[in-house]
Amino acid sequence: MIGCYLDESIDPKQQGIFGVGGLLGVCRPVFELDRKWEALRKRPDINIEYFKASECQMGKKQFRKFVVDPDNITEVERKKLDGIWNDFLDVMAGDELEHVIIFGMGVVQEDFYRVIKDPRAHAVLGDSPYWFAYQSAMLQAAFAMKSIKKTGHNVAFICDEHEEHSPIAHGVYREVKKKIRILLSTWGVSARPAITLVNHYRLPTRQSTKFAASCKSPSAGGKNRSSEALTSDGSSAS
Amino acid sequence: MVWLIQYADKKFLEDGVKENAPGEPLNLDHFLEQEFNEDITY
Repeated sequence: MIGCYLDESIDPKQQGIFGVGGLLGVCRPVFELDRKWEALRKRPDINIEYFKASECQMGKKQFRKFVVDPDNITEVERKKLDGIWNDFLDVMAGDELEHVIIFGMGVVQEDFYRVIKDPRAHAVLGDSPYWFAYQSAMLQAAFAMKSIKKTGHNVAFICDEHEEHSPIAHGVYREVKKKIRILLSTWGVSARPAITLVNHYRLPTRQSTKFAASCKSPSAGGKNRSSEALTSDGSSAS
Repeated sequence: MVWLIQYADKKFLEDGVKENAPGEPLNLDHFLEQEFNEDITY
C-alpha cells in the first residue's frame, strides 16, 4: 500500500491557481521524510518552528526574520527564501531508494469561472474547482498505481481536515473508486494537530500551484502538461 | 524523483465539459491514458 497525502490551496478571491497536491510514498521514505524534515527545520541557518509554503513564499511569520520588509522582498532575500524552499523539496526528493513522488493538479480559476458561465458547463463542473481538481488529483494517484501494477500496490488517501471541503473530498473518493476499485484502498482525514506530516503535503500543493502558474500562457498549449518536463531535480518546476 | 503535475485551463475544462453529462460523476478517464516518461520504482 502507498500513502497519498493530499491538501488543497484556498483562495477566497477566486483568482490565480486552485491547487490540489500531495505526495505518494511507501512507509520507509515517508518515515525518513519526517525525520529529515525536522532536522532541516532545526538547521541553525533556518531554525523555524514549522515550514509553511505560503509563509516562505511571502516572507511572513516564520520567515519574517529573513526579510526586512515582506511587501518589498529584495532579490537577495528572495534568493534566500527560494533556497530554503528548494532545500525542503530536496528532502522529499531523497535519493534513489528513499524518495516520494510529488504530484498535483492546478486549475486556472479565471478560466474555470469563465467556463461555468455556460449552464451546461456549470451543470457538469459545479460551483467551484474543488470537485474537478480533487478528482483529477486522485486519478493521477490511481494512474501512478497503474504504472506500478506489477508491484500490487494500491493507494490509501489521507487528507487534511477542512470544515467545508472534507465531506466533498470523501464524495470524490467514492466516485473515483467506483471506476477504478482495484487501485484505491482507503480514505482518511487527519485533523491538523494530529499529524506531523501536515506541512509535508502542503509544499507539493504550493509547488503545483507555482508550476501551473508558470505554464499559464498562450504558448503553453493548454492541456496535460504532465511529467515530460518535470522528471528532473525540481528546478524545472519552480 | 518523479514529478507529476498538471494544470487545467479553459480549453482543458471545455473538453471536460464536452466529454461529460450534467448530473453525472465526472469521467476523466483520459487522465489514465497519459504516459510517464520514466517508470516509478520502489
